Formats: sequence, C-alpha cells, structure tokens
Amino acid sequence: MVNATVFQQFVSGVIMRKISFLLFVMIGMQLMGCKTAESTIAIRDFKNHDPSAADHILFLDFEITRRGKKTEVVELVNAVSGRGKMKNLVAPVQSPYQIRVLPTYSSDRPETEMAFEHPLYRSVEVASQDGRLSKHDLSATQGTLSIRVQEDKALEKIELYSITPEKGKTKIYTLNLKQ
Amino acid sequence: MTRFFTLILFFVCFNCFSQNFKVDTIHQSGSIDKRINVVILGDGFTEAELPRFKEQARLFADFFLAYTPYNTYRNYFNFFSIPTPSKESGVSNPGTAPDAYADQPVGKKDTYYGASFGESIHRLVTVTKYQALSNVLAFNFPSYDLVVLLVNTPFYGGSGGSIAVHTLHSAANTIGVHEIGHTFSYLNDEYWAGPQYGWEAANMTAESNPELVKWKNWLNETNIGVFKHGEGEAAKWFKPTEDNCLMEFLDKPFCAVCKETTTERILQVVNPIDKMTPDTTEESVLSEDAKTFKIDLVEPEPNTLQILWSLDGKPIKSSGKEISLSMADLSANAGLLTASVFDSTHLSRHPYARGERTRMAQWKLVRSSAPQIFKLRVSDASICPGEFTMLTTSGCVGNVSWSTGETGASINVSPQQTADFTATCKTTGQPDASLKTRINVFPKPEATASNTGPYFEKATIEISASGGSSYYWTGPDNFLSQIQVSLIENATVKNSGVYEVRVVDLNGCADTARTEVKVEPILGAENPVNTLVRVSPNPAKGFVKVSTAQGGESVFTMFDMNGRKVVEKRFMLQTDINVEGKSAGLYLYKFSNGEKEISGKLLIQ
Repeated sequence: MVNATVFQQFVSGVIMRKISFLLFVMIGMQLMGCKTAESTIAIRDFKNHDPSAADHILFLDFEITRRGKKTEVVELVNAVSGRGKMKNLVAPVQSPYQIRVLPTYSSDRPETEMAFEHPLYRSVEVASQDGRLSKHDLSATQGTLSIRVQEDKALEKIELYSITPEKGKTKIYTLNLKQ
Repeated sequence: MTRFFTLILFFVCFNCFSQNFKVDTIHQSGSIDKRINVVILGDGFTEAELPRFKEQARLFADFFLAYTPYNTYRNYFNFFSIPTPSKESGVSNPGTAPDAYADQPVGKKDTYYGASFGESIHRLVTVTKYQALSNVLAFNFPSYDLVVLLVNTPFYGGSGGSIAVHTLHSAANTIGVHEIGHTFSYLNDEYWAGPQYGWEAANMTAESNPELVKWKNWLNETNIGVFKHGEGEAAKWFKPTEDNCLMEFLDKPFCAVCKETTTERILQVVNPIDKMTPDTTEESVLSEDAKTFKIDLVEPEPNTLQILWSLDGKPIKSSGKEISLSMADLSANAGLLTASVFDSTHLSRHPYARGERTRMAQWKLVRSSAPQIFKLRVSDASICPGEFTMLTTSGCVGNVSWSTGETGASINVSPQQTADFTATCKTTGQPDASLKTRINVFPKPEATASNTGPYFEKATIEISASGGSSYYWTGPDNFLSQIQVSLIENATVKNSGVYEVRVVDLNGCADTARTEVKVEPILGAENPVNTLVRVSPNPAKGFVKVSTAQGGESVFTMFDMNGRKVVEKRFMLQTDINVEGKSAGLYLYKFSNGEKEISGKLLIQ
C-alpha cells in the first residue's frame, strides 16, 4: 500500500514536471520568437473598464524587445480603458521604420492600418536654444509602443506589424479581444 | 497563453493604485466632441509644487492661443491640465551626453512620468514611464486630441512624437508649438534633416515650377518663394521660406504657407456650426405660424464666417444666424432648408476651400397635415389713427368675402375709430362660415410745441412740448433731443428755425407739432447820435444807462416777454436803471418824451 502510494506520488511528480517543462518550453518558444506571439484579453479585464459607458477608448502599451538581429519580441504590459470617443488625429509616419497596427472586425467595418513610430528605431528632433533644430536617429534594444484604439463591439483582434528596410513587413503580435 | 496574460494583467491591476486626478479647465470654448482638446501634463512637480504646474500650464495655453494662426481660432480649442504629484522635484539628468550643461546637477529623480534628459543627446528630454502616461490619460481624459508635457526644470530641452515634451525654459514653449505643427497639421520641417526626411507635405515639395508649386497662391507675399533645401540630395526638395518659419527656426513665426495649412486643419477638425435648432434629425412641420430655425456658430476672431440660407436650393437670406418660415413659404408639401457656413478667412488661399469646407445644416420641412379650419388672423388688433392692419383668413376651400365689400384671403383695413370686420367663407355645397374681429383704434394724441423766444445770441433757448409720454425733437443745426422741455444754451443765429417734435403716447400713437424759434444777433450800436434815446450797454448786466438829448421829463418803461411791466422810471436827460435780479432774457422797452415815443429791445444777461 505504501509502495503503491509512493509510486503514485512518483508518477504524479513526473507528470507535473513534464507539464511544467512543457509550459516552460511553450513560453520560451513564444519569447524566442519561434512563432508570432499571440494573446487574448477580455474587454472587461481592461483596467478602468466601465461596462455602463456607451463608448470606450482602449489604451494599450506593448513592450518591444529586440532579440538578436532580426527578432522582435512583443509583450502586452498595460491595457486600460477610458470612456468616450476619439477623433483620431494621429499624424502620418514617414519613417522607413514603423509599427503598423491593424484592428480587425467581425463586421464589414473597413479595416484601416494605423502607423506608429517604431520604438526601437526612433527619429528624434532636437532643439537648440538658438532656435536651430536637427534630427537624430536613435536605436534601442527595448522600447514601448503606446496605442489608442476606439472600441467597437465587432473588434476581434489587433495585429502588430514591424516594418524595417531590412526585413520588410513582418507580423510580430496578435492581440485577440473578447467582448 | 491566454491565461498567462490574464494572470499578468491581474497582477498589474492588483498592484495598481488610483489613477484618478482632478482635471483643471484652463480654457473651454465648447463641448469636448466639438473642439480640439489639448491636455497639459506635468512631470517633476511635487505635491507642494502643483500650483506652480497649474500656473505654467496656463502660461503655455496662453502662449499657444496667442500664436498665429491659433489666436484667430482660440474658440476652436479647449485646454485642460492634469496635475500629478511626483515624489521628487525636477528631472533626471544622466549627465553623460557630450552637450550636457555644465551647471546642471546630475542625478536620477523619482518622478511621475520619469522624464529625463538624454543619455547621448542632452537636450532630448523624453518620458520613460509610458504606462503611467497611458493610465493618467485613460483614467482622466481619454478623448484628448493633443498632449503637451511640461518638465519641471529651467534647463532647455524637449522632444516631439505622439506627445510634445518641453521644459520650463523661457525659450522652450516654441518646441511645443513646433511639434504640434507636426502632429496636428502634418507640417514637415523646413530645415534639411536628411534625404530620409524628404517627402511631399504642405510645406515641402519636389515641384519647383512657380506656376505649379503647391503654395503658388502665396508667391507674391513677403518671404515666400520656392527655395531649395540645399545642395546634393537636398537640392531635390523645395520649401516656401528661407530661415523665416517656425518649422525651420524656433524663434520665427509660422510662415504664410504653414499658417494656411494649420488653418485648414483646424477647419477640417472643427465644424463652425456648433448647434442647430430645432434638431435636424426629425422633419420640421411648418404650420401657419412662423417657425424659427437657428444655428449657433463657433466664431473665429475676427469673424470671417459667411452664412447663406436657402430653401430648396434657392437663396433666401444672405446673413444672420436664424430665419423664420411658415407653411406659406413652401411651394410644395415638403422642402429642404439649408444654412451654409463658409469661413472666408484671409489666412487661407486654398483654391477649393469653398467647395471643400462649406459646412451645412439642413432641415427637412413638411407642410402641416392638420385639417384645414377656417381661421381669421389679425396682424395688429389695436392700431393708431391712420395706421392699417392686415386681416388674413386661412382654411377656406371656397371664396372669402369681407364686410368691407372686398374679396380675397386677406385685406388691409385702416379704420379711423374702433370697428368690427367680418370675413365670410363661401364654399359650394357647404354652409357659409363667418368670423368677426374687432379692430381697436386708439385716440390720437394732441401734440403742442412752444418756445420762450424770441432770443438774442448767447441767450438760452427753451422749447417745450406736451401731449404724450415720449418726445423726439429735431431742429436746425442738427438739433436732436428726447427731453420734453429742452434747453439750448449760448444760442446763435444758427439755432433759429422751425423745431419739430414727435410726440408718442403710451399706446405708441404719435403726433407732431412745430414751433419757430427766432434768435437775433446782439445789437452792436443801436443808438446813433441823433436818435431819441440811448440805452447802453445792450446786452446789459447789473445796470443800464438811459440817456436822451430831449429836454423835459422822459419815461422809460420795460416789459418782459409776457408783456408784464417790470420797470418804469421818470427822469431828466439821463438815468441809471438797476436791472440786478432781473431774469436773463429779452425785454422790450418804451421811451416817451412828450409826444415823442420809441420802443426797442434790451437783452439782460
């Protein structure tokens, strides 16, 4: 009886270790960029979400980390909701380094890409006290992408694409949204 | 994986604290959804320093709203500030950049948004705590349009991007305005930043032909031309000014082309029609009674909005924010009323502006379907003698006849006294229907006017009227007065003439009366040597000397203008007469000596 119990504990331990290892490998694969990262979040889980509000604006912060020369790892680090409607006065981005954000809908609503400055390849404007201005290119291994999206009941997911002259357009993240 | 992120988010939420802060209104010209909302944040201000942040935020808003062309469109913007306390005052300074200020303390500060001078470019001041930024905006003002972040340090620095960041240095405000030029108006820089920054924008083009360049309408303006960005790669691109625009130098104002672009962008985002009354989502039913349609406008300063009202495409009024219509104005059972608003600002010479940004308010009109009832309407039930009033019938399918013998839907009547009028509707197959109304005629006021003249120059003219409650005088030398008894001091001959007064009573009825005023010049040498009597001085003040060459007793008698005797004196050859205490004005005198008699005028001052 004792031996049987010890055997069961042994088997359970092995299985638990295997499951833990499997999870570790899965997370590791995600983090290593072997597969485009994907996650799911329910709208109700956004901070400050007010179900009674008629309109919501979704604020999302993604941390983008460069691994090696080619891989960009994305992590959703903040999701917060606000009440209201936005006019969407986002300025066009002309830089060859961009993050394109594509909200997709279950309805026939037109899907329009939004362009953002790539947080790992920034072009910054520097002012001098004599009134002169200049542009500088800065690169980093880690940066934050902050986006703002008007919520729609038909909003299904938000896809992130990295655009660089070296790699072209690459999907780097998918955020599935549950209403 | 889903659970993994849900777990992370739960963890984040578990650790989060309240992100709600008081939003201060700096300048609110309208509702959030109908204006451009600028939110000002502050970093490196401790709890005790928040009043200073609020003051700095107000100063930046004032600076922005005074900057051309934003000053013209200040009513198109709202400004708010959100004070967030930092644990430490100031800003982080790594002090590692080659251009670091020698006198600036180096060190890390624990601030709300983690603003820091640059590690490799010192003047590049950026935030590092993006989540804090998202949280504050989402919790407190998610509908923002533009964000400016003020960093609590007097050292110069700032940055652009999705938010404009700058320090409190006195010259740093223009960093914010310049960066908003990029983010809001999509302006490009007018300094050469490198070939990767060359693209078509409102103020940058590869087209150098003056007849084709996109700012050709401004080429006759000072400083505006087609300027090469530089040599080599830069020579492919052109800009409208050389060293004369905020998009090139921060100590310059916007050039005309950037002002135009900014103006067009403002007018693209904000509709100058702020409100429409009645609501346009439902049909407006027009009946016999006039209905007023109104638009509330967001007016630029100066107001360059042009308004045109049209009904079914036909212009009916070219100004004004409201119009009144009744079913009589409809040519069919339905119609479309349109108010078109166009901003004719001189800040823009955009050739297609009228077509592209004429904003419209439209109301669908329908004629009332209420059953037609025979009605009699009087434009004015009480009138003054001589006036007329209009009697109008509606709802008669047949013919209308009047007690005056006239026919037709409406007549004008002008009774001299209170009278009744009857309209009869005669419709075949139906009994006649009659309606009666009484027109009340007020009694006519009786106006009178008089004056206390005649006068000599320098006298005070007094004109008076009676018969009403209001008096409207007109007279010579552009005289106007609304005083029942009016005085004109220091009269001159120019004041002579007919004065007319319009007297209005409490019923609004009027009558006019006139009075003629005579002003004569002051008598200079009225008494030649051989005259019977010499009276001097004339005008007199205090006393008057009367002398004659006639022997024997003489009598000098004075009368006021009402004919009352005020002086009588008997004398031989000469006498002085005390006129002290006599009212100023014109008097008549009579001199007699035996059979001889003469009369004249004496003015006492």
